[in-house]
Amino acid sequence: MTAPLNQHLPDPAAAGPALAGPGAAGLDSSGLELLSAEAAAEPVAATEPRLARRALTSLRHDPVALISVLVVIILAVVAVLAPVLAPYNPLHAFSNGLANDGAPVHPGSTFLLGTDPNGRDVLSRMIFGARVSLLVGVVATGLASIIGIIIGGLAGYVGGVLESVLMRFTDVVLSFPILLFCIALIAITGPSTRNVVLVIAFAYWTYLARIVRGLVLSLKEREFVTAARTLGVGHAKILWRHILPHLTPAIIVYSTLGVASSILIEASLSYLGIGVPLPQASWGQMISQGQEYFQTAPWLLIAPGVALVITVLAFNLAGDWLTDLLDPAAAETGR
Amino acid sequence: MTPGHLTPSGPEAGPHPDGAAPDPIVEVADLQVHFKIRRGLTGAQTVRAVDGVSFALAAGETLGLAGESGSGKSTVARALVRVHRPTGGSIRVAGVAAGRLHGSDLRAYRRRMQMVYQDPYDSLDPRMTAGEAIGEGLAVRGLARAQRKAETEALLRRVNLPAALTARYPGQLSGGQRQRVSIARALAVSPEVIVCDEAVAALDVSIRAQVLNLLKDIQADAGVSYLFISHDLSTLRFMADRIAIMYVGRLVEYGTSGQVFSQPQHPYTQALMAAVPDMANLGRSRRAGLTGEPPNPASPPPGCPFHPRCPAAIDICRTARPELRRKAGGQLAACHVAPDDPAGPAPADAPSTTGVTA
Amino acid sequence: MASQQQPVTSRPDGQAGLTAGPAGPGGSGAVIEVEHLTVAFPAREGSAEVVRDVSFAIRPGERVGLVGESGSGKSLTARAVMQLIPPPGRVAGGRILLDGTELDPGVPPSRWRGTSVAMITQDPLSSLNPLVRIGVQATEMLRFHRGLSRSAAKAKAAELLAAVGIPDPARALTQFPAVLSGGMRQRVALAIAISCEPRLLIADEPTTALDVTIQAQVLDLLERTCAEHGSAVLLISHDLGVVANFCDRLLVMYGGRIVESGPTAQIVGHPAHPYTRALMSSVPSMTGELPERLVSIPGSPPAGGTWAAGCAFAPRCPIARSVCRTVDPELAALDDHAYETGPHSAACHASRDESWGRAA
Repeated sequence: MTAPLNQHLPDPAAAGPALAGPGAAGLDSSGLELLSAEAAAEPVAATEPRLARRALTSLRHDPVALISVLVVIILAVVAVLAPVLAPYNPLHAFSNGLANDGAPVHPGSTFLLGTDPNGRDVLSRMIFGARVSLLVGVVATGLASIIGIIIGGLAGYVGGVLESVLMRFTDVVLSFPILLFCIALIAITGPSTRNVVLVIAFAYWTYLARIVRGLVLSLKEREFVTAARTLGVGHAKILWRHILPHLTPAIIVYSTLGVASSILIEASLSYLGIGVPLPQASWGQMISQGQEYFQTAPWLLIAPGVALVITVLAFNLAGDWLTDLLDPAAAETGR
Repeated sequence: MTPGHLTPSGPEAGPHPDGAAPDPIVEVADLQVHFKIRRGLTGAQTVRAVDGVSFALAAGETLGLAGESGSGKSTVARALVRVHRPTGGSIRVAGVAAGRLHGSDLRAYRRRMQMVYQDPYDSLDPRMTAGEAIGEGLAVRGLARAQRKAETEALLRRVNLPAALTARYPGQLSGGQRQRVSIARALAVSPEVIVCDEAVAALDVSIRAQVLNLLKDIQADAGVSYLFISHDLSTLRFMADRIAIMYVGRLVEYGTSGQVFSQPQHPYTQALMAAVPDMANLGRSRRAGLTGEPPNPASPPPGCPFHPRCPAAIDICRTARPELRRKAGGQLAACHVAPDDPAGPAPADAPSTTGVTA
Repeated sequence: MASQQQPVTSRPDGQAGLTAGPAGPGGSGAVIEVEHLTVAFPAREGSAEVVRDVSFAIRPGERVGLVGESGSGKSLTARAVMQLIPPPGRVAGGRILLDGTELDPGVPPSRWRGTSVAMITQDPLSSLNPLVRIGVQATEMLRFHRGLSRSAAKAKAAELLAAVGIPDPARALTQFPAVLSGGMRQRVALAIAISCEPRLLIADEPTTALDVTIQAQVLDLLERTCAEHGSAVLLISHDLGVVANFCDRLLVMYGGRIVESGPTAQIVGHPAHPYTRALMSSVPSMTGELPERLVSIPGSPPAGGTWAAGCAFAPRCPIARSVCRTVDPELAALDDHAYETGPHSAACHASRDESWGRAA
């Protein structure tokens, strides 16, 4: 009575990504389990749209996020292509860069954004300033992330005394107000771009360390980690293959927001004169300089100020969008 | 020990006192797993999750471990696969003492005992495909990458799944399919024993039967032994050759499936069986049910821990803890009230007193 | 089988206005009548119906069981009766009558929730607020619906807790739910639900999370309490054994529809729908011969809303034919026999066609 069902079964393709191909052989002797019946009867859930596709769809519906992401991309492009894009050498003090009375030149055809009190082209300095900001932001955050992941990961995974020690250390570092901390460290190490990066990294790793520790603590208890241990997989491999991939969404989100903060800190340090040293261009510096000339050469303040605001805002908004994108569905599909 | 109790081979024979079992793969003797809980500032309390459990498992057979929450059955399972460190007693697998292993020895041990978990959703890494999950097991076995693909597909076929599932993520699979992937992963290291910790409890009823049939097929094929943990007695009746009932960390009954199901000796076993809603006997009164709740494992009652709920409790039950003894039906039970096997001798041949050391 | 004649009814049992229906209290006395209920959720293309054309009625004091696996729509049916479908789902068709009058979304639910229909669910930690003392939760309904003063409500609540077997009810009133065990919490939930003497108590998987011995206690209690207060019970479960031992009448759901309904003894003794039959044989029994392999149904239950055309069970059905894949069978009485609680009906083409033959 078990007539061949195959020819009447819905076309597997039409029923969604159902299983193609036969199920396994050797089944129930009562004949109730049929090869193709089992296969066709188990339609697998439609493949979750890949992350990239979901990202594009969500961007289309969210103009704010779209603009932020575009700004970030533009900034990155500008930073990378700075030498190509900048019309002039940002360090060069032009002879025609200052008016007869020594005042900076207004924005015009030669110098699109005018010049600074030393006769250097503001636009070029802005472009190279973008490079500095982004460089410092990305490298400092990257470094901070690595430190934070290692410390937080070890603390969460190993637990015990090591965890206590590491976490108390983290608490201590965390308790310093960031800016003051950075200032103190720069005072010790001396201002330079490299030191700015290191100092920011050292101030910022604590946040990620705490987040990672919490995540690792809960991941450790998940059954698939227990299963891997039971299989005999070594600890290093478990950390790398099972735990780290689950930390990625948090790391990405933290990093985006971290870049924004790092840029701000760098700008603050440069503003205070202890960041990126002259004559190299940095937005913070330019703001500091521009303050004095606000009445006579307002563009000196406005240009870098606006650029900073837009950049930090863009990174924060993009970070928000990434949070929503990566948060719930990512855990399920992993793509 | 006593010649009258040398067990003949085959699962239908009586329970195996450890010393006399014919080549048991797994011998557990007086296993203890205690946990310390902090109680406020005034220090710790010890929870004896497993308080002296002994059993043996022969090759190719299924031992069912039954009990309700707080009985310690899951803890036994996890101690067996060394997720928990035994606090006392011993576990021997193929003669090797498992309790104190480290490093590569522990890894070698782990390949002999695998586990299938209750939650099909959480026991697979959502960020790894089914193929990768199984491949992980194969990597542990030492297979080179090139061979893994073929072997993964072979394993999938073995659990009645199409090879196309290699590329799927757990989120795209049904509960039954996930559980089969877990089984395939466990099989990847070619274990001798698989511990099934409520492996079908979270599946739909119609899927359960599929997976149970599959497990039986694998056992017939590969000669794997199962330690099958379940709170569902009807499943155990189908799967288990021998069965052990646990209550608050100890065994209360231990015998062949036939013995225990047809003539349960311990009042708790009897109550458990009476409580299972059976469709063959509709309208059977439930009045004979058990009152009260299982005790807090941190502070079990003195004497027999079951006595507050036991309909047959007598004075001695309140003070003296009963040992496992052979009872009238042939199985072992820890009860003062159930009549001992008239032919049976001393408690000396009960598993808990066999001198197998770690 | 007399099914070739004028079908007794193509409407499911118990519905109001049955003409050639079975004997027994007619639909007009029913506490709840569900007529052609359809619940839909928005899906990627249009909407997905997770409950389709479900109709049944529950008479006063009756115990009805709703059995199904995941994706069958049983929980949503219950929630539809309570008008508690989680958005974005909505009732897309049909209506629900409470004591003969339609439950209009315009009527504030507080008029009838708790007093006419009450519900207990699977996890009492989510139906009981873990941050609010039991005393407050237990007296809430009494004070709101019955207007009792605080002390009167407290006294009544203590009485109710004692009746459900909570030791030391006075103390329990001051405790938080987390202090109690699962079984105890379920008893408290029951006490609260029953406090205003509802005409119908819906129990959605009330014992699934409990140990089997506690399950027996709670079911016992449910039986006694509802008998005492005269409440009807709609017991929902995936466990056929639990439902069969508790209810007078069963409704088996699959694919969002009722595929079989009738007196418990009839369904258990003579299951007509292939799904019901397979379900019963796939559970190993506690007595009698054990098969070498369990009878299992290939494939898995379809997720809510993903039905193929025709009978939802056809892809897994051992006796399916081409008509099953195109025409969705109606729920129809299998014979003329007027059982006390309503006809035994099944939604299967095979059950009406002698020549189909039945699989073992």
